Amino acid sequence: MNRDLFSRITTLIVIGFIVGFTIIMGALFSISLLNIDNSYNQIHFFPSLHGSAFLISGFITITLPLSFLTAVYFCFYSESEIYRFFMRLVLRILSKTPVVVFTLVFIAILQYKNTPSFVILIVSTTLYPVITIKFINRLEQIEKEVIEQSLALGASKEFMIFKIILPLYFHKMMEPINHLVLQSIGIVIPVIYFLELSTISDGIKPNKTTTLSTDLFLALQNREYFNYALLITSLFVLFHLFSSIILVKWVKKS
Amino acid sequence: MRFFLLLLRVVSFIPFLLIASIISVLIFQTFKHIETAYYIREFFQNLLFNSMLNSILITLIAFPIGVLISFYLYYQGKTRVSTTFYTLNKMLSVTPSIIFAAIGVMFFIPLLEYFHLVSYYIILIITFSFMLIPFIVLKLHFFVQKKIDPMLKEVSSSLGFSPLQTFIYLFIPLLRFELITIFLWSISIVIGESIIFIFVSHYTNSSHQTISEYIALSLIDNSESFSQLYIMAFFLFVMINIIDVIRYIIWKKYE
Repeated sequence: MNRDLFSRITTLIVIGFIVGFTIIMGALFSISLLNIDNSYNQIHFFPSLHGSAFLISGFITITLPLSFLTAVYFCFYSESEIYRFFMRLVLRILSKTPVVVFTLVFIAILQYKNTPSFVILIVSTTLYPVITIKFINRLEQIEKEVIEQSLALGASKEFMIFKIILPLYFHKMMEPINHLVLQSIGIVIPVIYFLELSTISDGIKPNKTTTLSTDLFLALQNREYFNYALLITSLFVLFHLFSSIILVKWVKKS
Repeated sequence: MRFFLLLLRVVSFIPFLLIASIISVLIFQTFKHIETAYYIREFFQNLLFNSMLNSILITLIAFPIGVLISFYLYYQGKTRVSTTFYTLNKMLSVTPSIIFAAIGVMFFIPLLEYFHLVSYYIILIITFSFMLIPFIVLKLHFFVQKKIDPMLKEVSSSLGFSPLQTFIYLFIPLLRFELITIFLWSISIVIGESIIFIFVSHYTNSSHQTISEYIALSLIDNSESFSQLYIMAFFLFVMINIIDVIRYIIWKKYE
């Protein structure tokens, strides 16, 4: 093989990936901008935005404190190695469990209830192990000297967590929060099932609390609704891109 | 202080409660409907086979590309291209699968239809590659930063190693266990995925259903009796965890 051919291939793959992604998103975004009136007429966009905001605020309110407190207990309070081993194992298994399995288990435990609060409970539980693992990883990256010195100076563990570690390492905690928000936007199957939004053969038939992701799911089933699906996809990707750029820049600055 | 500690103890009990309820519900429901399992055996074998085949095939194609990209990021260091790519990866790694399904349905399917190349596996592989490659690159990039000294790259080039030789004799051997674990990790991600499979099957009229796709479709359509679904969910759960156990054993042995 030519001496430089290999590095050329790897460079081509990377640049191809960036260019391909830019072309795809550029095409989708420009088509959605051209058809923005049709998209808006196809379905009510703002009720879905409101539904997304409502559900996401619910997911965050439950998952964020629970995940953070579990990670705090794991990193600063638990002393038993057996507990830590089993906790890691359990969190690992839970984080790998697909959302369909969680949904089925909750149907068996709590029986069927088509209320938004029920959906919030299920999706929060699904996201909880993933976010806890992310918080644990971030908390374990904190320098031991900071912990030891603050404890040596007489700070209680509670004081150390909320008054020293959180303000000092808030930028590290932002990644799990960002992950939680972005992942919770895309949750579809439990929401569709519990809120009885539609069936795949019926096409779009929203009722109760629709979200942008469920609208996207329903719109993708039928080519007639592709304009609306394009609009939502473009908005999703733009939101993801901006939040990732801001996060990367902020972490670098911090 | 006491209240806070009590709160922490209660909260830290939640994962154990969750895993206990998942395992007990799945086992109880599976044994409750064991007769149904006998009747769906043949059908289930197909689903299991499709799940394994699809996940291995997709990972086999996406994985080498991800490894090559990670090597590029390591070898080139911090350039404008690698920084842009890293940010793009960060974004794609937290993008929900419905967005990849949307890109597949609205971009790749019409594009391939234009060239008369619409095929279930081609669309699956392209769509999943967009989802898996960022995951593989980020995980591998993390291990590269942790394990490979940047000086090794300088040493290898001063010894006259070409990039390909550095890749074969330095990058792959140093990260062989990480590569195996990330490969298994990727397989378990694809097995658990359902939304992309639903749309690719819908638009290619494919009958190659996977277990998670079947469960998700039955849940959405509310068409199947749950007795079958619990048995499938049980197998899905066990399958993913077996892969994870293998990964963990390899990792522990290496550590």
